[in-house]
Amino acid sequence: MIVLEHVSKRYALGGETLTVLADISFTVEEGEFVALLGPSGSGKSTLMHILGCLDMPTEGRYCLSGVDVTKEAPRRLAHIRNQKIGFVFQNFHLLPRISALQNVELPMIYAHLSRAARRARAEELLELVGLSNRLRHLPTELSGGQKQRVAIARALANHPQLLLADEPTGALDSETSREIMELFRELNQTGVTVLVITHDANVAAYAARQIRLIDGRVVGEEELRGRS
Amino acid sequence: MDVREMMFTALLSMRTHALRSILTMLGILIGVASIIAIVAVGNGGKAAIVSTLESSRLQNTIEILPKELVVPGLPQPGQVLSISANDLNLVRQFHGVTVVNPLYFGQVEVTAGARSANLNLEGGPYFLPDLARFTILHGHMFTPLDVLGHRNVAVLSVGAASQLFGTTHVLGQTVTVGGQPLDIVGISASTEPSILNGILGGGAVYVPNTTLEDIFPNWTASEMAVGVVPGTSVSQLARRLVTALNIHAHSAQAFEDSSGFLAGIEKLVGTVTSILTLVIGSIASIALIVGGVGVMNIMLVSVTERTQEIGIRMSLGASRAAILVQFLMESMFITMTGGFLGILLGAAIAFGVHLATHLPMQVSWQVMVLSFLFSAVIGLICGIYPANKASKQNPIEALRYE
Ligand SMILES: Nc1ncnc2c1ncn2[C@@H]1O[C@H](COP(=O)(O)OP(=O)(O)OP(=O)(O)O)[C@@H](O)[C@H]1O
Ligand SMILES: [Mg+2]
Repeated sequence: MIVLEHVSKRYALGGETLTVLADISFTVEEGEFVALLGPSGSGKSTLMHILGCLDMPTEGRYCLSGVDVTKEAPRRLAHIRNQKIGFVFQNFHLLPRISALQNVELPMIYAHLSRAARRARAEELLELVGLSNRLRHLPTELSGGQKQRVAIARALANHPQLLLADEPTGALDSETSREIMELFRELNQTGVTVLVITHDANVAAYAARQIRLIDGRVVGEEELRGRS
Repeated sequence: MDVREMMFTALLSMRTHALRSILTMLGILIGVASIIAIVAVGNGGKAAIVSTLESSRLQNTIEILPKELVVPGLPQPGQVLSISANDLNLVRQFHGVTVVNPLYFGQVEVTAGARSANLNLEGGPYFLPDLARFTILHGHMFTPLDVLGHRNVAVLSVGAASQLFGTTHVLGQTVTVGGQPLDIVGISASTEPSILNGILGGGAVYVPNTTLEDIFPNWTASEMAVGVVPGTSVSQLARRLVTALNIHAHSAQAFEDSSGFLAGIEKLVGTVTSILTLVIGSIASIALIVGGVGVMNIMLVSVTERTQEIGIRMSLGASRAAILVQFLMESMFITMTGGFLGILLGAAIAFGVHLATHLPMQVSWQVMVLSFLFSAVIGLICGIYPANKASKQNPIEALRYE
């Protein structure tokens, strides 16, 4: 599913170049559940943005389902993001002026789903994350954990093949974290490839494999248990 | 992203910044409103003038006059300035013509006792009130018998009476014109519509054309009123008479009947209102341009403010085209709302002017549709640059924008 070959990301900052990701190569098979670990500033979010076709590597190749996305046109990338990838961002990134329901509908609007179909699917997803009593609430009227769950519901809207979650349990208590991770596990069992960025060892424990990142380099991969 | 969704988004962002949106659309609103109001009042005024001129045509009467007398300027070659006795006789021989009355106009000194004034003297038939558009306030109009009998009678306009006597109660008194005393039999008031009254009004003395011919034998008629046998086609006969008179005068440009004369005035009125509309219209378009620039400015602000929203939408699969269309729709939404409200305001202003001044108004739906489309086009043009800027954002930079 994911093949990274010698991927680097550098920023030019006033004459100096800052290397955020250095020569990263790894592969994630379809249906895997992977945790990405590393200290703050190690480049986890940057890597996730590249994996999600939002950002481009400075060097190297990234193939998603056999397609070299570094060579794709912006229009195709938008389509890939819409159809194949579900994002849960570190800071949720919900649109502040529309309701939870409408936020979840957004990816389906760009997928040209009918109004009724969108509405039904969004309600179903919000029920799945336990928010069926908060459909009309604005993001500002929701708690951090509730926002996170709206973001997860939105990520699942178009039945993505790849779910990318950046600290999806960062704002949640241990009980809710467990529920969310169980949800991810269920999704993974239906065939969705899941990649979770986390600091939390309990969260990482759900993953079959861990990839550790320090200063933009992969320092170790660890198989936790057999692939399911 | 379907149209309904975009309308919703546009409406939402307009509602979020309601005051800002209203202020932004003010320029468009005022521009469109003034265009609508000006055209409505201009067209209404023009139509009113034209219709009063049209209604002044008498049944079974043809008015023939030398061409282009109303437009001052140098006489052109082939132009005649008056109507001769030969012309009158020529017309009298036509089949379908019952009677031909010459009409005389001139300025003369009129005296009454010690007072005198320079007044318009008009000589004509007993139905002169219909031709010269006045009614009798006191007394009566001179009769057909007065005309036949060359009687020394006169009708004074209110203006003339007050200039000569200081009062309008002057029936039975006499005025002297060209040495000939005339009995005042009636007092008249103009029935010209108020717009024309100021231009054409003033003191006038009306006498039978026969009487005037006696006093001023060398005056030439400046117009003739031709009576027509009922049932005759007036316009056909008019054309034939004019043609015959033109041949007689060896000029194609000598005479016209009053329909041509009216057409001339209508054209003049049309030109004047068009120029006025153009002048005020261009001032209004400045308001539209300024309004458009305001919309562009606000859209640029909006794009910057919503950079993160753009990033989020892109991360969820919005293509550049979808972002472009979204912001274009928003800018068009603002200008079209402004245009729509402007049309309402413009119509209201025109109606207000109508109530206040009794000037007629005519709100033209073509101008409404046109200004609505125009405001949409302004939205499109002024939205292109900001919308393009929004769609060219790099998704990740947009997402990180605080
Ligand atoms: N646009 C940019 N320009 C310059 N440097 C950047 C840019 N974006 C990210 N960086 C740098 O890249 C490094 C990695 O950032 P990243 O957000 O990927 O870290 P992270 O591993 O997700 O950290 P955290 O756990 O705190 O979220 C940081 O040092 C950051 O300063
Ligand atoms: Mg991060």
